[in-house]
Amino acid sequence: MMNQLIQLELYKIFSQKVIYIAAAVFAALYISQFYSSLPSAEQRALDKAAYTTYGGVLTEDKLAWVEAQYEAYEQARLAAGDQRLHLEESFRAEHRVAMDFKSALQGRATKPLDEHPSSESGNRIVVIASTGEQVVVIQQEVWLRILIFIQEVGYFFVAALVILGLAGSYSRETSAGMDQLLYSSRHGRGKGTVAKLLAGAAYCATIPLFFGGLVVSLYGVHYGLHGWDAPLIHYTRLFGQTTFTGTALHYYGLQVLLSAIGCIALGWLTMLLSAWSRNVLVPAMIAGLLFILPVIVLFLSLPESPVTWGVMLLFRYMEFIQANYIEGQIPELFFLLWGSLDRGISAGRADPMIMYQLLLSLMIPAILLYWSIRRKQVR
Amino acid sequence: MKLVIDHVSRSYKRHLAIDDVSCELTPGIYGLIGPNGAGKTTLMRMLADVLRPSSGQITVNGTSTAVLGERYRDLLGYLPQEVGFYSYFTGERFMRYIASLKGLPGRESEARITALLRLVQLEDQRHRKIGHYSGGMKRRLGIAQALLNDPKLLILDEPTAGLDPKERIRLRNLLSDISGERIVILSTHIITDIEFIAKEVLILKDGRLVRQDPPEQILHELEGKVWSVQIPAHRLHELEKQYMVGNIQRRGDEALARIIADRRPEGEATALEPRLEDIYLYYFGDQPERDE
Ligand SMILES: Nc1ncnc2c1ncn2[C@@H]1O[C@H](COP(=O)(O)OP(=O)(O)OP(=O)(O)O)[C@@H](O)[C@H]1O
Ligand SMILES: [Mg+2]
Repeated sequence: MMNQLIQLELYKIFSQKVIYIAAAVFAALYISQFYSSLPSAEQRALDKAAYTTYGGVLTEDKLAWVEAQYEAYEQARLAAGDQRLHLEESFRAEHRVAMDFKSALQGRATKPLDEHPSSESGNRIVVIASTGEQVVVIQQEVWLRILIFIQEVGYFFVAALVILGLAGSYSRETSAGMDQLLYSSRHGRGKGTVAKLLAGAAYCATIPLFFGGLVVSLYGVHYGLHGWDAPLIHYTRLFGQTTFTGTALHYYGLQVLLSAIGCIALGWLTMLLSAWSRNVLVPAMIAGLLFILPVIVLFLSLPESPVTWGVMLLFRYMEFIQANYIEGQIPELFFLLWGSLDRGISAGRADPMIMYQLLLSLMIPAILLYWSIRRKQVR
Repeated sequence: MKLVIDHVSRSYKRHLAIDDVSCELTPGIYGLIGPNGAGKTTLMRMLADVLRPSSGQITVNGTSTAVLGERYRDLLGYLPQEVGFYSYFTGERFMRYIASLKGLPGRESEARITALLRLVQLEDQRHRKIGHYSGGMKRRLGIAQALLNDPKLLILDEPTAGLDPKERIRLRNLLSDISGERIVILSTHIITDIEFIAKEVLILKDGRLVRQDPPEQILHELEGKVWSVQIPAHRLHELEKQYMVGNIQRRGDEALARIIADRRPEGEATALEPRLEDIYLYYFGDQPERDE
């Protein structure tokens, strides 16, 4: 009974043409942007070759190569003088690898150096070796892009799809007069609400999966997905300081999951608003407004006050959906679950606030919705 | 089962739509009649648990429906006056949806859906989208969904609106067949819908229940009050000023009017057998809708 109810609620959500149109438009926008900034095939091949040849674990030999590469680059720069610098593409690709080594060294060295104040900064490798750590450089572009897929696609699109799909969940019932059948039926006020919430959640979860899948496919086709099993910390440009000990793929999975939860929070808020209005546009507009409220506050640079603080703290849906807060910030709460899978992933610095807020943002609209439908009268 | 409406009132803002209505209902068919705006829909919505009384309560065998909640709704079959359905659902899928809302177990519901769709003659339409149904087909689907859970209390708000005469008779027969052990309340503007099947007629006027009696008793009271008067057509308006005038038949310059009057009116008047339709005229000074 419950299964059928959920299925039919899902059917209602997915029979809305508008979500397919919106998804197609958003995907097309992203795809066109992807292709407009896609480097040429030769360029991609050169980059890949440079990283395979010169990347990897930093050794004394590699350090020497890095220094030599920098030297050569400096020479070329000096030779060019005021003129524009002309370099071979393969040389440029090599230089990127060298730069990655440099920045990885700088990023890593700071921590151990604090603990080894006597060390000279020149002996970084020694220091790193003494802490049992390695400096590794890999090609980062692809997975970095994939890992921030929500920013790639645009969280606005994700939110818009959530809101479009769910703004009608109750408004359309009310405007059709179907609420009379819903609320006079045995389960319409109890299990019916739960079924609607679950179907809404399932719909929300498909959105990050859809965009995440789209991004992975595009990069997979044009670059290949190697690097998925590298530890996240090797993606030094964003995650050099991370205490997340899983691989890039772990992180991606976690991000899709948390983003889905964020979407569900926004979706349930939209459903709650929908239960209070018979016009689909009203919940859609209010949910959209609440979603961008923090941006408005920042954009207008309103003075700090309890109100602006309240707004920034209450409506963090944007952060929930982007889910980039996970990086090293997953509190124990979440790790009870993840840790129990014994992946050996650990979290360091935690921002307990946001996870608890996410939980509250899920629970409060769901509970409010349940109770208001319990007591709802037709108009 | 005994359903008691106990001093129930309901107001919308300041407007009192149902004013202190009390009555007792036991298995059988009840015809709820009253002109537009009398409060029929409001009363039925309260019975269907989609609207709460402003005061008073509704009880089933002594327990308030507010306490029974889900258990009360389990007894209900409700056809609202205006239902939108989902135009993109097929009839069958819609029935399946209502069946799961009513908590019918899967296998049982499939058999019931088929039986009911056959009953309302929609079996060959079950895979068509509701958006492509005619008005009467939608109405019949509405009746079928109300019967899904074999309700002990069936509330039908103008079920015959939009049905052709043949379907109307089918519905009437169906209701009288199934009414045995259940309470059926149906509102209508077409008195013939309830003429032979209603156990009692509930007359609602301006939110008040003015009568609750078996049709024969109401008819009995009208005996000797219904007349047919023949007068020149140009004098009709005089007649209308004096009496409640029902049907008028014109025959050239002459007119034959059916009127309600306590005493024999002047002129050429013949006493008529009262019909249930006359109560409409008697109570509301107006004519009911007619089929045909
Ligand atoms: N949602 C509402 N808000 C305000 N007033 C309402 C509402 N619904 C009904 N009313 C008022 O309550 C009174 C009773 O309305 P109701 O719909 O119950 O009448 P009814 O007997 O069903 O009429 P009809 O024969 O036209 O269906 C009317 O005066 C109507 O204007
Ligand atoms: Mg009505």
